[in-house]
Amino acid sequence: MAVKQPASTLADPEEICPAAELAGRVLEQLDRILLGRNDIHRLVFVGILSRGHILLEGLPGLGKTALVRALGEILRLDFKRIQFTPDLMPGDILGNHILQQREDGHRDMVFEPGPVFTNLLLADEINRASPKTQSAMLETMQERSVTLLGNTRKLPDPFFLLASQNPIELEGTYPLPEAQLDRFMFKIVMGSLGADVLNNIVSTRRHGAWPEPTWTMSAEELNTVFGAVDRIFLPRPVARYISRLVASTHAGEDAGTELVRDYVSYGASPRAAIAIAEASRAHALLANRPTVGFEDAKAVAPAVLNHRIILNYKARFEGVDTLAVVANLLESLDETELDLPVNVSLEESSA
Amino acid sequence: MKTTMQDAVSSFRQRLAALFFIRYYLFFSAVWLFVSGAGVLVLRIALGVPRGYLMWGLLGLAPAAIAALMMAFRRIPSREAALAKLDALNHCGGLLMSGAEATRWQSRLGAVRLPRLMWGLRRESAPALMGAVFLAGSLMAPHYSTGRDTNPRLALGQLVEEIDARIDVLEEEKLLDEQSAEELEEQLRNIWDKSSGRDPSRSWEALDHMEEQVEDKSREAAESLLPAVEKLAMAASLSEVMNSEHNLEPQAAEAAADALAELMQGLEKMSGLESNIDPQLLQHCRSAELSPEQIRELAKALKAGQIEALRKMQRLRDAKLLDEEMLKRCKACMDGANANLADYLSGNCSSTGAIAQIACRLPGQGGINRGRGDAPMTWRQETDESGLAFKEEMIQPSAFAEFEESRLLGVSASSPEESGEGGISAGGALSSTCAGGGAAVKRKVLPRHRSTVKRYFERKE
Repeated sequence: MAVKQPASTLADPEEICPAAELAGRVLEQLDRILLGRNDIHRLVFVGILSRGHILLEGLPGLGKTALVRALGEILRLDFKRIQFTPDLMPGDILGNHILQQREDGHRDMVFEPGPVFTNLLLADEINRASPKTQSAMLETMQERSVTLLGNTRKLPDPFFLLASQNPIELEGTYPLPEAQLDRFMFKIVMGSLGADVLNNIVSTRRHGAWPEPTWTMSAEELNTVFGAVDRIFLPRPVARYISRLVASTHAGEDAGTELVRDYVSYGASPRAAIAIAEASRAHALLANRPTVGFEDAKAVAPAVLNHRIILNYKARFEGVDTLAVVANLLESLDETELDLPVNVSLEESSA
Repeated sequence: MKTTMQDAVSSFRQRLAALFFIRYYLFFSAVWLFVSGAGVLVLRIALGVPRGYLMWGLLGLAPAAIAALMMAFRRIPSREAALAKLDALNHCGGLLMSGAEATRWQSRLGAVRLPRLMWGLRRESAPALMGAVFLAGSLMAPHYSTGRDTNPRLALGQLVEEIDARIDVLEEEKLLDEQSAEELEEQLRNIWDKSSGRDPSRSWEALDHMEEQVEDKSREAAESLLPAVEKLAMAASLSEVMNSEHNLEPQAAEAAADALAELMQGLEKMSGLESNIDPQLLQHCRSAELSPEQIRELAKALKAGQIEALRKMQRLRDAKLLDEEMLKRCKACMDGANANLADYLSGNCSSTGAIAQIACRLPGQGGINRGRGDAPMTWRQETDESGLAFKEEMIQPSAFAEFEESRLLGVSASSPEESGEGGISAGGALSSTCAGGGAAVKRKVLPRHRSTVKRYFERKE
């Protein structure tokens, strides 16, 4: 049984508030540069603050690459982009050993780092690369290192992979294996924009060029924010709620809802629970709080569970998607396990 | 309602405890009420336990309350869960759960609002309410409907009432004196009071006996009434003759007055007459000194007495105290009054001329066996054909020719006898001939020769 964290362990406002302010400024810059995507900006930044990798899914031209580039500029992180194609080889990503002759005439193999050695890597259309190449990303995503010819090289800290994939034009693509999907903290689906936003974009963005950020975050400030995220307290009821939420995604006797029982083949992994907990911390920081609340977990849960729940053919046939299953779970699962009778409900007091 | 965190948590838990207690109490109460209701029915039916003892079963609601209290305590959410719920409902973002009240985040926390408990009471209270109604019904059910009585009585009410009504009829018609009627009614009440479901045959036998007793009384009364009715009818007939025929010879009038005085003997006390006949008139009647007005008055009173007697008999019949036969006998006495009077006069009057004068003035009955031929016919009822009904016989067409040759030998009131001769229709030339005994040749004997042939074969002694 876990010991309740004493109140004194709560971070002081002096620790949290500046970091929350910095995070808020980052979001402010993002919202200024890219119009109409505030929620996605928030989620992506939450993923960054949680040191997670993000899979962006959407049609071409929706601003996936722009988002990553803008983020890199604001955070002043080293940014590289790889366009994934079927003939892309692992060495094209990770780097290669090249035979070089020194001045003394001696020849040796010198490692030439690939584009993965960066802070912010955009893997564009990641599902177009072959499984062999895709699997080259597994170690970098999980261990944040590259092992070639027996030598393991650490990637720069921080390292974030933001991959994009196109949900259509699936011919000639290689769907990401579940193991790799699971390593993405979020899968964010970018939908189309409304007419008002498009009007704003057309009016203010000539040739699609976005404005330069008016403020950028330094490495120290970024570390301050990371440090603040680490100080966010996760209460035990919220941790339990996250655990129950992830456990209830599994079809079987412990299935959370009828939808899960009917349409889910495989539920989310423990990595999902960890991801929700970490992302909730970052989400709480953005709300300028030292603690994680149920609302934080609920806010990030769809993006975390979206790609980790594998639905069966029945769901595909009946048009049920994972977001619907997750929404149903969040709605039906009681956060606090009060186990109230069916016809008893609690309502917020108006006065 | 704004309050501090500690107070809010305590209050919230207390509210939940109260909610759980009420729910469990309603559940346990419903169970207990149904069980105790069934128990009450069983105890009342099987053992006949009085209601007062069974009311103690309501004390079972106290253990139900204790059990509900225990269950409610078990269901009270932990302090941590209550805090978490309050945190979620107040959108505190985990500050409540992490005890931020005691830290520098207190200003951010603000006041805690207690949530409102929304509860559909109807679903839980309905079974308890039904259980209470069931128990109340079990307790309030009438004694007989529980099927158990320490001294069960037979349902003899209807039969007793019928017998009592018959006694009343006998008493009202003065066929039974008041004391006897009271005795019978007392006897009847005793039988009813002592009737017991444990020994029903005894009560039924007593009632049967009682019924027979009443019927016997009634029959005796009716039997005793019949001669009086007969005499009354004769007196009425005689008074009518005396009233309508003023040209009777003095001897006949005197004989009639004597006969009337004799007939009136014993009728004075007859019910219905004593109120109609003036005692002075009765005195004159006894002394055979009646004026025409008195005779008219007496005839009227006797006629009313006759009607009253018939009404009485009919009422006894309606009360099932007499059978239809007795009523017929009474009517027959009245209908046959003239014939009876004629018989009476011939047996009691010495003057044959007077009898003839009176008898010939008696109206006939319109039948063929009553009254004299020269008596004026009275048409009262349909002719009685008892014993005189003719049986219809089909006459064969072949016999029609015989009627042309037939002779009238006499007129009989009885049905003609079928001879069998010539009754069978048969075709052929010899169909109407009679065969001679042992003759090989059949000869036709015409009807006009038959008597001759018959005389020929008659044996002379």
